[in-house]
Amino acid sequence: MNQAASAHSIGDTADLATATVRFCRLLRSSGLSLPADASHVALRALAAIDISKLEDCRNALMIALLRRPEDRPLFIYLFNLFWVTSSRERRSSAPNPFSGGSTDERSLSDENGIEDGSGEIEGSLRGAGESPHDDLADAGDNAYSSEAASAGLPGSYRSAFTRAQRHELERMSRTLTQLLATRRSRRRISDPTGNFPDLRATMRGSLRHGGAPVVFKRAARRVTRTRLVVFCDVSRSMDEYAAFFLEFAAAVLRRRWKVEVFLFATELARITRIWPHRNWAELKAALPDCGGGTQIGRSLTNFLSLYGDSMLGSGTIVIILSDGLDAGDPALIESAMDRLRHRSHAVIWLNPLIHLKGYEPRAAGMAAALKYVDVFAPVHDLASMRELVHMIRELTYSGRNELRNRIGKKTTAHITNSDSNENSIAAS
Amino acid sequence: MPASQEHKVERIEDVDKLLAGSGYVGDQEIATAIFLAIRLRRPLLIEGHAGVGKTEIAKALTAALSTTMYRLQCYEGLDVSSALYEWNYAKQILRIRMEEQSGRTVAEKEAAIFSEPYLMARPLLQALRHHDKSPVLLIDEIDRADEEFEAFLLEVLSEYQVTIPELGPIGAEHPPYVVLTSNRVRELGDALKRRCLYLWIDYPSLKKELQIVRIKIPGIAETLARQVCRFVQELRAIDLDKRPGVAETLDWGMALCELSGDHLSLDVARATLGCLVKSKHDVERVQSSLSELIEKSAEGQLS
Repeated sequence: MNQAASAHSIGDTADLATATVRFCRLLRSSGLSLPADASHVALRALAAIDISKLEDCRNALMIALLRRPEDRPLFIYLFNLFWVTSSRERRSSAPNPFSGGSTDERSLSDENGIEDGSGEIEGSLRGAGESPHDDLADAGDNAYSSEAASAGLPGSYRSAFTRAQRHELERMSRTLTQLLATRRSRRRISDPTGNFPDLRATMRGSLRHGGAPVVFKRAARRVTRTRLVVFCDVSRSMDEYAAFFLEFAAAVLRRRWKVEVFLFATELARITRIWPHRNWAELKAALPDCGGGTQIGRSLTNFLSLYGDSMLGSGTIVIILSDGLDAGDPALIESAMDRLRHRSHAVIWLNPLIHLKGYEPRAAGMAAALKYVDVFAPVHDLASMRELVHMIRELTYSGRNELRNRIGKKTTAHITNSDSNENSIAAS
Repeated sequence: MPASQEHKVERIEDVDKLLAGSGYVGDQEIATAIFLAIRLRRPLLIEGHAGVGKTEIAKALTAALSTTMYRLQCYEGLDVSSALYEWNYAKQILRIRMEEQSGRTVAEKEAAIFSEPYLMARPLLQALRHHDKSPVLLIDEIDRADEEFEAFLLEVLSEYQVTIPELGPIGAEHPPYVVLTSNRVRELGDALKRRCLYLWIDYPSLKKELQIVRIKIPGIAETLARQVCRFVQELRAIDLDKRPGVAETLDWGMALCELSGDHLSLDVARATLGCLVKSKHDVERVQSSLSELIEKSAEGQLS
């Protein structure tokens, strides 16, 4: 592709087109999601403006291509890398920002080059976060057994489930999602037993009787979906249960409902888009640091500032899967949980340690979080999962009100239940 | 004619001028987005925090193009009958009653009651049927409507045409300029995003906010305006549940303008804090560091 890299005039639209298409491919391979007609729109946008000003070009491309504000920093970084750096390197031969065509020959010279190039970029972007990871893993390793996490990567997470077990887990996760993520919508559907009049249908029906509305049609509120946000602790102390939780997360995600899944350990990572098909390779790339101490408070605070506005709301149910062993400041957990609880419908904390004899939520972080939790229940294997589904079903099907209200009313009762359970365990 | 309007918009700078003329303080990115929306005839999706002036862009665009704006406010449960059209059932029933003795056939009666005079056009249909020139169609807070409505909107946005079963397809003579706004209460579908240009508006810089305050509150003293803007900028840096937008700055500025005259004092700030922060949690957090914040905003004044 050397001929593309040699100097060109601005008027050479074919070259601008090639460069734009390359740029779109670079964005895609760096993990930004672009629509299929992205390069077409980008070119139309560039054609409409005066491309001699770099800033206008950047704005135009951003408006045409970008769809999420979180991606802006990466976009600007890549834009500068693609359109600015390379042209400056070759300023003598090609003064125009677009004349560079393919820019970086190393990374973008051919099909494979694109892959490699993006790898380099990702490497350099993530490099900063990754290198201290190993140090942290060594330094922070005091409380937990280091055996399983030696590689710092989820080799040990790799599922040990048989096919039948995975099916059962999938089935239960499905039921659980269904129970939690539905409620009555304000939208109406025709329903002969409904509580609302359906004037349009009544009118239509009346034509059959020469205009007299003989049959009165009714409508009812439809059942609709609410959002679930699941946080999955993948820190070292959770090694034993991580495979189970990751399977659970995948099963929940495969419902394609309004479900968001995050992993956290010392950092937070969103895996909603990559995990439904249990692609271990991609998960590995997205996985937050697993070594060192868990930072529940910091992860939740990060979540609140990054995604809080868009994902939380009075309909959202938050599920946290964690043992509550935290290396951070308990006050941070408390404030994060307080905000999480105020801005969501209910918070469910599933803790695999509850089943251990004599367990009490005494760890400072867990104790701080507990007062903001609506349902606190054990989950560590298929049997406990079965119990959880049963319990949630009880909660959601009892009473005549909406699911929302039912949970709100009932969970308090459950908290006292679990309290008394713990007391009895402690007493025995 | 839309053509004559478009003649004016040849370059991004033209949009700048139009915006300035209608009292909107924008920046290069906003101007580029509006320019592209006009030239490429694509819907413009604007996202940003509450109160940063998303809706204002549509209003400014309307004023700049001197056309009409149709506004569709979205909410959960919004359906076709309140967004697009509804038949006037009461009127239809009356008509049927009147014609009971007329001896017309059922088909004639049906044709009569399912015709234009019995159709109540809602904002989407109004925008499509606008005769004069291309109007601006503002679909506000699209994230509050549900996904099914979004899917329905796709037909309107890609073809500028809707189909009413009883009347057939209705196409737009002058396709409207569509502006969609979203607060990101939920992530919008990819299909919808794909059809739109996308603009993210962040909180304004100090300079820009100051400019907005001066324009929108003509009577405000210069010192007060500076202090207010600095204070709000400092406030946004604090970790609040709900950070104040430009709309809040303006509310507060107006309140202070009425109360204290030319500078910011602790007592007045404490009394009027409700204009800026709107949750108990946040009020407590701000109250505790209020004097510090005021000092900071005054310090900036001197330097």
